[in-house]
Amino acid sequence: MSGHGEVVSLKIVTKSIAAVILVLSAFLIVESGLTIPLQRNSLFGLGFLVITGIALGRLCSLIGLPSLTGYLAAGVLSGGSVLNIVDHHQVDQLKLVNSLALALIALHAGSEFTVGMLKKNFKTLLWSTFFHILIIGVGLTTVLYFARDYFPFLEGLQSTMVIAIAALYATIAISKSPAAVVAILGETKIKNILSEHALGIVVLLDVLVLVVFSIAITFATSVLDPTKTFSMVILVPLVEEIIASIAAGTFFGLMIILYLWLVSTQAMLFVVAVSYGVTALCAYLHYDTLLVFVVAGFIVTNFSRQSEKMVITIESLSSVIMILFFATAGASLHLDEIIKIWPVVVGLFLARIVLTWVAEFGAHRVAKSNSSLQRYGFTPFISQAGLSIGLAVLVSEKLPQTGPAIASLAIAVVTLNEIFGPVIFKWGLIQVDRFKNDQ
Amino acid sequence: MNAILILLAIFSLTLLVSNLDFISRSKSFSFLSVPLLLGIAASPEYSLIPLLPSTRESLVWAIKVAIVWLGFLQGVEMAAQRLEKKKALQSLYYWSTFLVIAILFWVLFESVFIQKEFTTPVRVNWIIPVLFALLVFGSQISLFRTLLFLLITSYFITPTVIIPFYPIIYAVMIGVLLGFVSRMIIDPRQNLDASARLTLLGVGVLGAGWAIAMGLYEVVVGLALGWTLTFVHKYGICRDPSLRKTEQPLLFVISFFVGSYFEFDSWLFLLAGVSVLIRLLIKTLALKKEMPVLSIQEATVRALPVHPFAFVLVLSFQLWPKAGLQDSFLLSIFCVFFVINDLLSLVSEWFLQKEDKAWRLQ
Repeated sequence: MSGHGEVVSLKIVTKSIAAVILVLSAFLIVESGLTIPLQRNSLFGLGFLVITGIALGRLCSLIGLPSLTGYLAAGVLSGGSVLNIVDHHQVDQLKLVNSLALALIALHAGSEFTVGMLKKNFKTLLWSTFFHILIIGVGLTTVLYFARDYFPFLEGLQSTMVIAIAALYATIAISKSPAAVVAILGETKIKNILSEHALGIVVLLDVLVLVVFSIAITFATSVLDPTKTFSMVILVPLVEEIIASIAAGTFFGLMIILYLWLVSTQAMLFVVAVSYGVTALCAYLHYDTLLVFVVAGFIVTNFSRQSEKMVITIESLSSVIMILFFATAGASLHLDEIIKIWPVVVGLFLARIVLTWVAEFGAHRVAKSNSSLQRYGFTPFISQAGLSIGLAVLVSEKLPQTGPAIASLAIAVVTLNEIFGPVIFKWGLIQVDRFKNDQ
Repeated sequence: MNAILILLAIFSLTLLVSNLDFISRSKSFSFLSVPLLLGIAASPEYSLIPLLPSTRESLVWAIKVAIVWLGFLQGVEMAAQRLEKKKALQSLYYWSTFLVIAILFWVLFESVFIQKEFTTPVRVNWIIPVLFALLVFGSQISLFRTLLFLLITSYFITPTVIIPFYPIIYAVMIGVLLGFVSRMIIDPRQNLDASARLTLLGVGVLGAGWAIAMGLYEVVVGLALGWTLTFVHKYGICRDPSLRKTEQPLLFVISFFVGSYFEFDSWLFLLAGVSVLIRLLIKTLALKKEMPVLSIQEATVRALPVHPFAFVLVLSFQLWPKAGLQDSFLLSIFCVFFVINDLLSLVSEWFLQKEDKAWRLQ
């Protein structure tokens, strides 16, 4: 089964790949033989991403990998590092699609939460969140501190400075990818304790990581620049922002309920319009877009009977959205960054996996959760995507001297996490299902 | 934000007008006049609605995708049309009459307006394609008519003979290629499911991007894509009725954009009015010859409608990079022509309905 729920055969995969090769060959022939220069544009790139995504998504489904990996591979193949059909400038132009995708993903994630589910998993969610911040945060700071000789940008710095920079990097590493989690759950249609747990943690961490990151960056700035002082006052606007986001999410949730209850027709158009409108508003008011939509989805599910209509609408859009979102994410990956410093990147990638496993194992031991969660609970949290890259870019802007190097390192590790994360999560979901059946 | 508000306004007003009692019963009146007039009001020349040229240009890429999609839908329809000997002979009579009138018209303009320096020679050159365009826009549009329109209009505004063929032939080749590509990705037994929709969307966007990259006619890419896919797919997914549901909203947007490129010229009304009358006269006579039982009023009502695909063709031509955005003469005259034609439709249908009512009362 592919990401769209279709049955995939070797014949259809071969034909799809042949179709992509045909388009590519025709384009290259025209480009090389034409006297009039071709103006590459984002529309051509977008179309190519879609058909390549379909073909490679089918290929991945055939060999048992998530379709999402195929979409990412399509992006990598079309991106600046390989075929250069979609360059980084064109990826930026496709951000309009990404904002819609992120809004729909968050709305879908929010609609998966029920008050009952939160009550049932409250203890596990709390412990896991705490352990993720503590173990990955402290663990990766320690790894970077002791391995500082391998990182040229840490050379010659005082211990406090190294700790500050390492802590900043570790904060980026804490963030997860809600989009990847929702995409894999949508594709596999598996609902078990791991899926419930994964959704809860990625949403909670998405909010908390912003708080932790704000503290870390203020600390790093004050250590690296003696003219600046560290103060917890910076948390006040952040907390205000979170409260305002929850309030806005509640309002938009009620708006969706009202529309679906009173009008109901053209739900797809309405959802798309609300997604774009609210995203623009969130950017203007500096609200956390993801939190706003998650809360809106939660309100619709728990305080009305309109959830089914909304979920059907989102699911009918999701195949288009997922392919575009992940293919453009793939096209924006910086493979060249990995090649330059690959031993360090691979080391940090493995260290993060181990620490995530330790955090999840520890949390489930303390919360006395199901033993399958102790074993496979770490699998949803390997993926990283947009938020992590966003934080890395912020570091690069805030710390002009060491920031760009930290950002390059973080983006390189995120690239590996983005490629391997979905595969590991799909494997984990299947293992938990098997575990349940065996019992 | 402006653009979204404007689009919402078009939809609301069009829905409102289409629900008016008399108009909703009308068969020949086209509701596309409403967004067209709104577009004219929003054009930079009048600026009654604040649609700046920059906002309009930032939306051109989306319009080009819509053009490919509408071309695709029309291509699917055209693939179902069969060439009949009787119809071909009828249209031969119609075409030759119109050609004679067009040439006479052109000679008249050449002799009158060039001497008076009323307009530039380039604009006089436009008379043939304009008349031709109005002829082409019948109540039905075939692939042959469409290609002929594009070839002739391209020929009259480009200096060499070879160039007009380039954007059409390459566009046809790309459309055919993409049709085969769609066939390879979509299994013939497949329904119009999410995967098939996504493939069509992807291929449509790819076609639009390719046409932009090479400076081709997007509409031809769409037509060739639809025609080829229908042909190689043995109709398959192309038969799905939900495909056509996307047509009407897109046509509203397209007609609005056509209006937004309108540029006023003192003799637009003269030329458009004369064109409407000539077209109406010839078409009514042709219809009366074909079906002698029809009354003059019935034949008129049948002769008046213009196929909505005309909007797509006109806009596609306007957005073609070689046409130059400065010269929107063809488009402007089409706007006036369409509105006059629609008003005539409304009036003649009103008379017809009144007569019908009187006859029933008797």
